[in-house]
Amino acid sequence: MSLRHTIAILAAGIYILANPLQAKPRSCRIVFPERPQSAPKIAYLFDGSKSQRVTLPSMNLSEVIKLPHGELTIAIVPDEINDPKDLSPNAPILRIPEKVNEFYIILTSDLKNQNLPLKMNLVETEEGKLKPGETLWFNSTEHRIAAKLGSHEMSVDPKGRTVSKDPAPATGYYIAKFAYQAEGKGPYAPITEQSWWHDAASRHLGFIVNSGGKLPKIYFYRDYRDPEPTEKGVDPKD
Amino acid sequence: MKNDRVTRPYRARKAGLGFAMSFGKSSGPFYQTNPSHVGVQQQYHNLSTLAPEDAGNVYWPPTDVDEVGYSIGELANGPWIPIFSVNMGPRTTIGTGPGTEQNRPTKGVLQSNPLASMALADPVSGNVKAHPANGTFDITYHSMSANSSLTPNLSTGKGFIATGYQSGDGLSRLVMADIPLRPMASLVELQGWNPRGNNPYPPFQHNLIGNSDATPLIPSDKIVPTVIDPPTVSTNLMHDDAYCANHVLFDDWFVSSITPQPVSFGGNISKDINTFYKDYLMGNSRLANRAYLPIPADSNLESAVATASATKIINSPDGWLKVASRFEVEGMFNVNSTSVAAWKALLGHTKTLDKIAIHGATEIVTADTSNKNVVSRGAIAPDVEAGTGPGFGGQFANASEYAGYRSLSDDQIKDLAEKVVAQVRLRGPFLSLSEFVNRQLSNNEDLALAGAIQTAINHLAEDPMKKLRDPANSLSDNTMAPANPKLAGAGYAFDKAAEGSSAYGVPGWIRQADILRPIAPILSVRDDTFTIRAYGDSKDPTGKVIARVWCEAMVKRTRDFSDKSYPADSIDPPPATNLINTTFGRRYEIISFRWLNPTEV
Repeated sequence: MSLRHTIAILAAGIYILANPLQAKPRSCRIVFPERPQSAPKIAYLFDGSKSQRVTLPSMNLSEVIKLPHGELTIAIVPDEINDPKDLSPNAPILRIPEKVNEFYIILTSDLKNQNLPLKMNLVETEEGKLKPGETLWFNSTEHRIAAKLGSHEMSVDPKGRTVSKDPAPATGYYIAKFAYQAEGKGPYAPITEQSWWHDAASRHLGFIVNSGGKLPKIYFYRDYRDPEPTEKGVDPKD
Repeated sequence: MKNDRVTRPYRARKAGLGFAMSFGKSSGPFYQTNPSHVGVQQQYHNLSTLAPEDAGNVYWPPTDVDEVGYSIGELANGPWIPIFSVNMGPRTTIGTGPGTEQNRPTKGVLQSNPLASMALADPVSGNVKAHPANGTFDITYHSMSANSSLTPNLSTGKGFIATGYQSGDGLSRLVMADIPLRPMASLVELQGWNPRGNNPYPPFQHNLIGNSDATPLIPSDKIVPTVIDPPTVSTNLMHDDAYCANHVLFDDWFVSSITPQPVSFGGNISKDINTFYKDYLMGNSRLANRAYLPIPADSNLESAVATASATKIINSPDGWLKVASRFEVEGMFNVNSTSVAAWKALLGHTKTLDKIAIHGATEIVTADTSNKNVVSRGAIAPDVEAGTGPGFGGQFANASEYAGYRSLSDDQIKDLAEKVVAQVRLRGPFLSLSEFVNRQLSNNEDLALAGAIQTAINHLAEDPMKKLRDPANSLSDNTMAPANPKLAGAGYAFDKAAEGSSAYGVPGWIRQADILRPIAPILSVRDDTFTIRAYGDSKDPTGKVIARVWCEAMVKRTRDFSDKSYPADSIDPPPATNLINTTFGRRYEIISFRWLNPTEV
């Protein structure tokens, strides 16, 4: 069975199994950390029946993308398609389990893919895995990272990931100090000290990557969500 | 900043990419369009980087720039959101985000002067003086996510400027130039002085006095560019400044170290200059420069005589011109020596020092240097010994490699002596000290790149700066290759002079002046003491040798002229009518004489 057929069947299943009473729409946001210059900045997310134009940003999270409920296989394609038959067999795909309602897609480079040189990676943050105010850190370096983030300490293993708690009890600035243990051995050495903004209402995705120099580069994205418009619309006073 | 920078920040600017920073006083909006030698008199700092997009793409490649999008709600809900970071700093700094394509690493302090008051960057002008690679500062910029280590270290404590902008790779303190805190004992202690003043034109070299490196902007056999701009030599502002400074200073000037005596470091005086010099003449005090001894006529004087002599020199309007005639140096060193043992002894002189003074965290501190061959930029070392930890300026382990003093091993001292002798053989005999200090103006690259001692340092088998030089240690970067598009229009006339490391000449990088500083006061290009052997035959009327003798005399040149009636400390040379003095010059005295046995010949 070809991938195209799989997606078509899954899409049909989604249509049947989707729970019309589920209150919260299914959504995701995309980010492409360390996006190469040659990588696309815009693409289409195909959910088996239709495409929607999405941005592939590297400096912030994409717009919130609404998707159908149910088990789903999505593909990312360079041009708009609305028929599974038009899907290239090499298109990057991602399977979304039915239970996953809110998630992130982290893009990484995949230069071997001639169709679109990237790979989609699913990051689930529901069921208390990542609460508002917390940060999910991805360490792609070979170093162990330690940090003092406001009032909390955090450590992440080489090539590991971890969640750091709220650095401050409420929204506001805090001091973030990072250090690294080269290749996970020996004493820790300082990386940087920053005064960062903490948004207690938003989740965050943090990245620690090799920079080409001695020190890892550290940054994170804030998943700020605009209030969902109500039936009456957003109160203009808010 | 000029007031109108607030009310009209973009006036006189054209569309395009760019940054402009300007500090100081002036009447014009920006100075980068019309720098002139008149500007040397003015105090202003200017960094302007303006270019249309096509030029900007070359000099500031947009590889680190990306779209940043936020919703209105996100922008409205919270603090300032950083989207863009611009860093400006010395080009010896690698910069935020190593791996960036934007940095333009050039050869350290040969192309970047921390004391420069004005720098220009205007790549479309086509002017060498305004090329970004020739300015003293570097600019990088990056797009940013919400919170990022791409911003400079933003703690409540100290900032970091070199070698990076973070606590993990930066220094909060780097002593690039120091003001002598004690009486100077060597002319080379002036290497922290910036004789270029406010000269807005490159080459922006630092630590000029005593150093000898060529600049890539001037042909190897010249001290000014081939095409002078402005067009007359009198208004020309581009020179090989190190060459010129050495040429002017060495041979003609020295530092007596007869000065008021400070209590410790700083301005409080324990003895005024007259009292100190009087004590010196009485044999009760020694100069900071221990090698300078009073002539016999000035030695161990009675108090009244010493007072009179001191007053005569100190209070005389031409005393500063005559005081050199009151000194003798025991063991002046002739730089034309080709004795490795002699050079090794001279270069290893610091091994007898027990301690070295260091600029500590809040005061001068000392470190034990027993049995070490110490090399320091200043009389007070800028930081702890290289390779011994973070030091006072940084937090990362190898910060002292960049900022500290160094110790050479005995093998390195021996190697240095051998390499210096090789250069003396290659370049000598030197007829003046400045000729020894300076590079040769030549088409021979090896001779034109640097002077004798600098070349010897460069050729050391065991490189003291190995760790500092290696880009893998993130303390420096290799300089751009001449073919790099970012150097197009830089006007290099001597490419080889630009090759090397971005850390070249930082305090942890041993340069010629660092070696010269302690030994310069006793260097000479001639000897004053000679051993002369003579031989004579006694012949009978037929010409037959009936007796043969050899003798040996040791003679010493004195300050007196052969005709002693002419004053030894005269500022003017003897008149042409004084044939004895114009013919024979200074008087020689015989120190010893003996007859030699034939077996000694």
